[in-house]
Amino acid sequence: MSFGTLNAIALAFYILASVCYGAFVFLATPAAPMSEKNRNVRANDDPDLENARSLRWTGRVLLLLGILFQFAATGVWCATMHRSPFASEYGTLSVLAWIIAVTFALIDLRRNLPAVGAIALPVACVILFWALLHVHGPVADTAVLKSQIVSLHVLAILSSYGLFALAFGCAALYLLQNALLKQRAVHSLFSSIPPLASLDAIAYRSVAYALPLLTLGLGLGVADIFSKDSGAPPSRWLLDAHTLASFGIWGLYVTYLGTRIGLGWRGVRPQYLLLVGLVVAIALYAIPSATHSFNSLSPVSAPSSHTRLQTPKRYS
Amino acid sequence: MHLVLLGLSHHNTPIELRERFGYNARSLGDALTAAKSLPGIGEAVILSTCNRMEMYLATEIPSAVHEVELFPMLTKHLAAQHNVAPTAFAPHLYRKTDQAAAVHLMRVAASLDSLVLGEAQILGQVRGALRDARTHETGGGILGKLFEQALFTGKRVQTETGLGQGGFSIGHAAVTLARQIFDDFARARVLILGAGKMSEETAQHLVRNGVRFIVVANRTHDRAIEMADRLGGSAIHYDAFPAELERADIVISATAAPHPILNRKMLQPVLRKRRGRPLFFIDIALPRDIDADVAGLDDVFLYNIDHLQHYVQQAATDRAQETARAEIIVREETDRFMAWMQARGATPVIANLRDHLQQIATHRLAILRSRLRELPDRDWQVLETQMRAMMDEVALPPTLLLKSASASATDISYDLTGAVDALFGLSAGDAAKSSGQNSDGFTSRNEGNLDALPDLNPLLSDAEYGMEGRQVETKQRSDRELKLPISAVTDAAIPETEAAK
Repeated sequence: MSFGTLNAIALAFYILASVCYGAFVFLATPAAPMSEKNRNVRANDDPDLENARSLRWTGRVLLLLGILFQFAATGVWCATMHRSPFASEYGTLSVLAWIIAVTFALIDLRRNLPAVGAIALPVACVILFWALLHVHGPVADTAVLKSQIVSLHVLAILSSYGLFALAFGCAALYLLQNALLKQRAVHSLFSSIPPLASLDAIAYRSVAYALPLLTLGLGLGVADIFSKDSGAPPSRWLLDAHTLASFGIWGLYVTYLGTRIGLGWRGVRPQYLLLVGLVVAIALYAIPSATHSFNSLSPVSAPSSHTRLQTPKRYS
Repeated sequence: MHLVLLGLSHHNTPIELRERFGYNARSLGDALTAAKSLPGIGEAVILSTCNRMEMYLATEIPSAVHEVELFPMLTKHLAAQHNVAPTAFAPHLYRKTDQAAAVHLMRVAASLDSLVLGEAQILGQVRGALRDARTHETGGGILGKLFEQALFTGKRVQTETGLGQGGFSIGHAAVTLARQIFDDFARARVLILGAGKMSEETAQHLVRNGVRFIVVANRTHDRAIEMADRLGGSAIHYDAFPAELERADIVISATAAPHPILNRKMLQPVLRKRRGRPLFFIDIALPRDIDADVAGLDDVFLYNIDHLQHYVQQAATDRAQETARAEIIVREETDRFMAWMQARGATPVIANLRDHLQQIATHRLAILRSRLRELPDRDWQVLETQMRAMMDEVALPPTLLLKSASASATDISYDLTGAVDALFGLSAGDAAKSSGQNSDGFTSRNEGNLDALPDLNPLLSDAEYGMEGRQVETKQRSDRELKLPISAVTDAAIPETEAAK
């Protein structure tokens, strides 16, 4: 089975898992607020709730299958292309989607937050779908991308972006819940969204894990720039729009953590920082870059699922 | 007599307006006295809670002029008393009369009209309203009966339906809303302002759901200590509560302060120190304790009693079956009260009829006594008993018919009342009595003696007494005493009677 097919199956699993999580959120939500006693009665007797629970377990199984299939797809791609997945836009995006899915799966198992899944999984689906559109895109074959440091650099940064995406989702849910509470607009969605404190805590922890990863990734990138194999003058890398913007994003998340830990800031304002952080990161993807582009990194191979590698030209 | 209700409630009146119509213990007494002193008003009871202000009145003013005379007068009275322009509250004011007013109070007592369906507190408030009216001597027989019937209705609903069990109260609402803000109640700190019953109930819900840190502040520090002991928390002096706001996560406010105790200006410096930690205010006081502009501050969530309404009403949707059962009870008890009201309308006619017949009997007996001096006392007793029993038997069919027709609450009861009045000449008798004549149209020769005569059949003196039982008793006594020879006596009395006419 080709990596494209495997990833397409993974995408199908993710989509079905998203539907299951979304359906659970709405089915498990009582039509009206309930006292504890009635809530307990419903927990035992309500067939809708029973169905919702089965949906949730189905969603979890599907998510797990999707993660496994995507992992297999990435493995097949690497084996076929003899490259790290970060040698192509397809592989990079695919890994990003996989990181988001894995991160959410871990959080779901531990914190029981299906509403976050109902947002995070569709994001992973969109990214994976975007990746599949580039499945036959260029594959860079340069010394730069063969470097272990660069692979770690990309992996660390992608991991941090996956966590930032999760923090973004939590911040968006926080602001939505905040608005609902402020407007006293109580409806079914209201009780499906996790408490503000939980959202705030998950966002904070996501950033707390992501920022060291981003720091590590940026550090490895800088280290690579000054290594002999970077293939370009350091100033060209350092003054690149992507590099500068990445440091900007880093600064933004440092500010978030600094105000949170140092000044104890919580509530609405830090959530805006998290939203801005990911928006800038997405904008970064659209900024033309002379150094962080697969096209600029290599004359390309034209892979198919049975790709034949063309002789790559060395980036200079 | 008509029942009249004027009210403002949480259903249609914003809290800003409702709080201007609140009463305290002192103003309530004045308001009751003022209401009763209005022309045509016989009784007055005021039900004043945080959700409603309702004035129940019993009036002699005919229903035909309620719209043109009574309601405008009462609206003006309320406007003057609360210093609010009539145009500001008249659109929110609901007005009900007679059965509609009775149904309304029954529903209120059954908590069907409450913000929190199934809550028990309203019963105490209805009882308190009646007690206040009786203390100030403004609640008489009709409103007293109405409120007692309403209390009975409320108790029936509590015991016979599941409305009061597993209900969704302010406490539940507070817990559910707090759950959307805080994930771990064990770490949440609750500040209670005002050691009242509602604030304690709300806090108890939070405690049952895991809250461990509770601080109570009250103007009377001893009460704060007592409540804190009951809730397992600590008490602080009332003046210290602004400092406690820096640490609190949930604030339950239910003081009796006439003005807001917390506003935006006071809270802003506190929020700066809190550094964005969410602060959840549950303001269940009326007038409100927390100024509405506080809600505009970041990370502050303010819910007052009206804001909870929609939320609690949502919870009521899954209790339709219990609500329907409660409505049936309300209907039964209202019918019972209205039957009493209608029967009460026939009571004066029945009493007049029986007085009229007894006066005839007394009058005729007095004439006989003057003519038949030789008759032994034993025979006189038999004669008197038989005469009064005869009058009772004459009165019995119209009495039973009047009572049953009145109780059926149909318009025919009024026709029967009029018919009995006309057939027996009761109004003429009353007029004659007032002009010094007896019921036969004659000036009584021994009026003073007649009035002084003891009621020989006290069983029949109460128009409310069960007529069926009385009929049996009278019949048994008649059968026993008819064995005595009295025919000669009665025969001898007839010519004298005719002569007297």
